[in-house]
Amino acid sequence: MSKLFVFAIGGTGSRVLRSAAMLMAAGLKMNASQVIPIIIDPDSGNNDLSRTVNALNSYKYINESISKDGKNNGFFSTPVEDVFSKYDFRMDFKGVDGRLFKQYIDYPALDKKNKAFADLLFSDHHLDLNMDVGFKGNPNLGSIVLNQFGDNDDFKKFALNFTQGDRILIISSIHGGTGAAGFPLLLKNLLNASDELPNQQLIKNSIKGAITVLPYFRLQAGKINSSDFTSKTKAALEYYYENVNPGLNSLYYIGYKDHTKSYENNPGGVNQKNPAHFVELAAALSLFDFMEQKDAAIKARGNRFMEFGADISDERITFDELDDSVKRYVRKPLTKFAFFSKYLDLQIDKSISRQPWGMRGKAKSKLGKEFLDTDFFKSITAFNDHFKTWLKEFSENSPAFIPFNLEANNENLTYMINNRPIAKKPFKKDNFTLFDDHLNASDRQDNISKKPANLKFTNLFHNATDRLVTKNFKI
Amino acid sequence: MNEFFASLYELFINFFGHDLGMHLNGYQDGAFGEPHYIWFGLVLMLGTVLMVVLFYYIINHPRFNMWKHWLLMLGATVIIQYIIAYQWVLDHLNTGKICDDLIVNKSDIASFSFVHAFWAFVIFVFVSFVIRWWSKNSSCTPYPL
Repeated sequence: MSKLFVFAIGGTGSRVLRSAAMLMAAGLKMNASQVIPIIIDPDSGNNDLSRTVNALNSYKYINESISKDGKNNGFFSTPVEDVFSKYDFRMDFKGVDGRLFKQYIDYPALDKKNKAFADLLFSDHHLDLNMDVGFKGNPNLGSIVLNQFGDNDDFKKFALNFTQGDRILIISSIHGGTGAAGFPLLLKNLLNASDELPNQQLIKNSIKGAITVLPYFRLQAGKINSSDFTSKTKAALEYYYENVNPGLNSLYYIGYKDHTKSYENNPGGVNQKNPAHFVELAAALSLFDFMEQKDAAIKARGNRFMEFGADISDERITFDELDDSVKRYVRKPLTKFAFFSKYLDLQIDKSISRQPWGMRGKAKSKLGKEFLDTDFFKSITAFNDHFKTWLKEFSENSPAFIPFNLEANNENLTYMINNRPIAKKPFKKDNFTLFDDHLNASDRQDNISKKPANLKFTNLFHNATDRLVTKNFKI
Repeated sequence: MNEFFASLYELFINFFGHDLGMHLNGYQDGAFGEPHYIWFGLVLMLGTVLMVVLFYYIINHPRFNMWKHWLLMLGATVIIQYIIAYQWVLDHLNTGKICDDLIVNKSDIASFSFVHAFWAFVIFVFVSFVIRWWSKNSSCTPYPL
């Protein structure tokens, strides 16, 4: 299997990556030996980015802790790598931090003629823009600042890690600043990789895909004007048609034009924290689809264009509104992880020292109450917090993606899946009792009770939720 | 089989008396006929094993698998076995099945029933530790492996 390098550009790129992390955690199988996220966002403080980075770091720690103990085919099974080893997966850009755009282009030092030319291209507002918060929806600025891949050290690190057969996927929005500017630039630098770049031939010839996210939300009145998202999109699409599409082996388009909810208008920094949206989840599925395609099938460039559709009639999406192929793909893993999440929240401290699954085993394979104090478990709960927030944000967005009753508890856990009540309820066993029954069965029958604790823990829950979902919900 | 059970009960024969012991060995009118120990022993064994199996494999429930639940089952087994033994021997006494040569009173019957219940206790504990390994929800009851 080859590696997948995922360039996530701007806020949308980070948010799609966040959804991809959730799907991988839930056990969706990625046909890649490693996923290597590379975030391109000069706005290092924005919350979309930091939430994604935190989730990815927790994911990476969990995956590595499990993988060193043996084969893991369940939750957190796809390895994630950080080629920059900085714990932020982020590509650094020179001359951006704390500077105004006019400082970046050295505007004060320009002679009269060049200043006049710059004034022609950029308004005072543009020139005075602090790039600490990105490009505030101005791709014309982004395309200048981001045009430094050629001598970027982090870009060279990426190239150094690139091997035969690896693939590249670029995620960006088409209507914003960073994504819209960064995507064509990045692609150009990949397709025309300079001779000094390590593995430049491999990179040039590699299979490349992209996810272009069209407008799917609007913003309240403020510094970024979302009313021109559509016109920006049209212009960009026209440009892509000529200059971008021919260079890609696969291009995924996704958007949502009937959005009714306006986000707060935060151009960047810690306040930029857009809630998770179903479009980001659907976009994240493209990563999996892209890696499923055989080389021969997508070898020709400019040939494969994909869209995503769902049957949305009332601003509310459950699994039933998804196409069967998508439903088959995501329903089971997400449901399993949602049950796992509920158990972590409401039951684990009651059961881990009382049920055989938590008490059996010796030394390295024993869980028990002490397991709840390990760094591994703390990372699991940290990731679970991301997962819960992610689901909650979906449910409050437009359209709302509400596959689960997020308020489900020990009284009604077996009715947690919306539109899918329990199909087979054993006598006197329901809710967490039924869950514990499956955990004990997994510990007993799946030959995992002697595995090291971290691997045992995730395998136990993966197998138990599989039994629960398969046997009792017939999913 | 009778000898096996007799040897178990008669470890404590001084406790419930030799006359009751002779009756249970089948003494009747100067000779030994059909012994009774075997039936008490079978009821003891089967009844107790049934209760253990009930706990570990039939109830086998994640919310009924703590040491206190096991203790409850053990207590119920001991009490049930005591009552069965007491009523059974009392029935022998009341219906004249005990030879007139033998002096057996209710205190002897209570003592024998106590011995019977004691063995029920021992068997319950022993069988619990033997069969719990394969129980899905109670393999760590009454305490972890």
